[in-house]
Amino acid sequence: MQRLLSSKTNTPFKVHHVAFDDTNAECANHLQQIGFLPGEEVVVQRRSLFDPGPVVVRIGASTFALRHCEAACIFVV
Amino acid sequence: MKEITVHIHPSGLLFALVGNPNCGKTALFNRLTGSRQKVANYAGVTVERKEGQLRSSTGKRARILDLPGTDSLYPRSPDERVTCEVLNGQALGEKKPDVVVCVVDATNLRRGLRLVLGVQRLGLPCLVALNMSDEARTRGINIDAQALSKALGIIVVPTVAIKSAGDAALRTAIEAILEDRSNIVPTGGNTLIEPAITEDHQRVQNILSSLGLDRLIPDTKSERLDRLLLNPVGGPIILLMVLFLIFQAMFDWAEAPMSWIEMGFEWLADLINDALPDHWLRSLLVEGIIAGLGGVVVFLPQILILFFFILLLEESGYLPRAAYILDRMMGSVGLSGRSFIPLLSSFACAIPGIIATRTIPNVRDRLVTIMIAPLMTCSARLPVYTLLISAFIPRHSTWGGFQRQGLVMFGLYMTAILGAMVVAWLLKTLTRSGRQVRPLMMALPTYRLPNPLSVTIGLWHRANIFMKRVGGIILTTTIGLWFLASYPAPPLNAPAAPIEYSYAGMLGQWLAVILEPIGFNWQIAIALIPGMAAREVAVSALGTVYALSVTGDDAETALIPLLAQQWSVATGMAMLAWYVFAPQCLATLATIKRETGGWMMPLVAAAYMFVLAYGAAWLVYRLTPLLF
Repeated sequence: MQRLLSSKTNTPFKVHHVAFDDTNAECANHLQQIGFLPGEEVVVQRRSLFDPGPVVVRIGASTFALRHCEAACIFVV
Repeated sequence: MKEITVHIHPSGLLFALVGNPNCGKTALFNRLTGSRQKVANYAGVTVERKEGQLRSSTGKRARILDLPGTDSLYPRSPDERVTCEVLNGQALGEKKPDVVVCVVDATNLRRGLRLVLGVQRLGLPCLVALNMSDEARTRGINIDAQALSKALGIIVVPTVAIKSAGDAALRTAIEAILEDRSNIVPTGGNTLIEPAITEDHQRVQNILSSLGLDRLIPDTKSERLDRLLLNPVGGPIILLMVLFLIFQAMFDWAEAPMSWIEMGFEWLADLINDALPDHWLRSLLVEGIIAGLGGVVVFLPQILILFFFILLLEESGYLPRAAYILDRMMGSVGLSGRSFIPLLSSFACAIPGIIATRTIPNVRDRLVTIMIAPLMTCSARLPVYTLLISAFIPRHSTWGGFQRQGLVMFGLYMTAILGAMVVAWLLKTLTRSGRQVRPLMMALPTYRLPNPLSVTIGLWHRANIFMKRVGGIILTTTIGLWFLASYPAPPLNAPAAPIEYSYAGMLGQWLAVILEPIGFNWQIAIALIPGMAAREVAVSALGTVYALSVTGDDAETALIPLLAQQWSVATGMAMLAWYVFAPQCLATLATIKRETGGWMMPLVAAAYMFVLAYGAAWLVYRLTPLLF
């Protein structure tokens, strides 16, 4: 298991879980609603040149731009 | 005495269109009802419920509701709340829908199905419209509608909302329900129970795997384009070039049509001057209405060119990408990427921009976006900018190979954006909640070729809005101003122009005392008063004021050369600076009041913008003589 943020670009992984605590529960909840659910295939398509910038992530049949801190909640295998 | 409100609902079954953002609900709504609501290729175009009517072939009527897109039935932002309230039967003045039409993007079945399951759990009778089914097929996604219908236990019909007759199957299904309500039955439970995300997810997985669709579906075409357009180095350069080209085109392409409109109005003025005796009616028609309206209508070509490009960008799916590219910049001043699209809409007009902030979940972010939206250069500023640029910046001069007029216009837009960012940054540093990290989570839609018909409709719609303003508020204020500037009549053998003895002249001279430090003369002072109603009114007002100010016979009818002759460059530039920031639009302030629910925010907005405008104009008025 690793963070989505540290996963290799353009390589498919599967979502393991979305981690959250009191400070970002709302964000984690919304990530689940837009499809970041266990078992879903996910690919990091591109990262920003400067860290920590937004990342472009493909999940299922949607593409989302996520802020660095949002993507940081997601763990993949 | 007690009062109770009784809501009387029109007859006919109520069908509500529900679906994920950007799945084509409004396009389908337009197709079903013959409406022309705005559609585009990004999430959050529709933020209010809209109603239309469908008439079946046997003459029965159905009411169709178009609702804002949502990903779940647990609303986060004001627009999503609208949808959830309607579905729960809590919306003011609206009954619970009789049938829910779940619009599902066929290229993204997974995301749509989760919502369908949620709606089913509410116990509402529903059916599924598999929209964009043509695009799904070309991308190799073949959905067995019958199998899906069986798995969900409800009717599933394929639709292609952007093609004529693309709604045929849905229409047939609706007509069948209108004929006999037993063609649709309520499904599942009847309450909104605890979030069943994992349970639904499992069911969606099962359905998808039984249909052979449970894999990551690539979007190669969009990905290839993104490789170029979202490139860390190339992306921002391309974005800047696109914006830059738009401003160049606004001046280059508009030259010919603008001169035709000018010639048309001159011809009309000559015609009336010849036909009528020297009489107050002639003065009202020529110096009031033609000078006033002609001054504004001449800018229609430029406004349409700007909107042509905005519509192309909206339809293509590039806009959310631009938000992604600018995200770091927005984040550094405490704004979320979600503020981008409302702010971009504000380039057309701040009012739809402020309404579009309903897609922003965070209350503070929404408020900041509302406060800076009026700083974005709305199309009503265009006539003012173009008038002054044309008068004071030589047309054929260039800077480094680029047309200088276009460059100045680009600079004005950039100044406004910079100003807005500084204001947002100040709000970020001054408030504690401002320092938290803002969410983005923005869907990047599939690229699509802009639909020529919907671009044409969009342009026609824009031209219509503009001409309605010309015929409405601009005509009214022009006539009002002509009266104030013509009466009382001057004493006999008065040395100065008649206008200086009029009510407007007196008021202008009094106001000029306050505006003198920023280089404004009394004519500008007069024009600024009706200009409070709408920005472009200042142009028509200047047209009227100068037409009435002329003393000799050699009256110059066109405003542009007249200003170049009468004002100093510093005054022209100061007025440009004033218009970048000035809060001159009562309708915007009224919208801020409505959206924030009080007078506090509109007053704060008006005050800070006035201070900025006065300060900027003062500075520019002092600095320009040093540069030219």
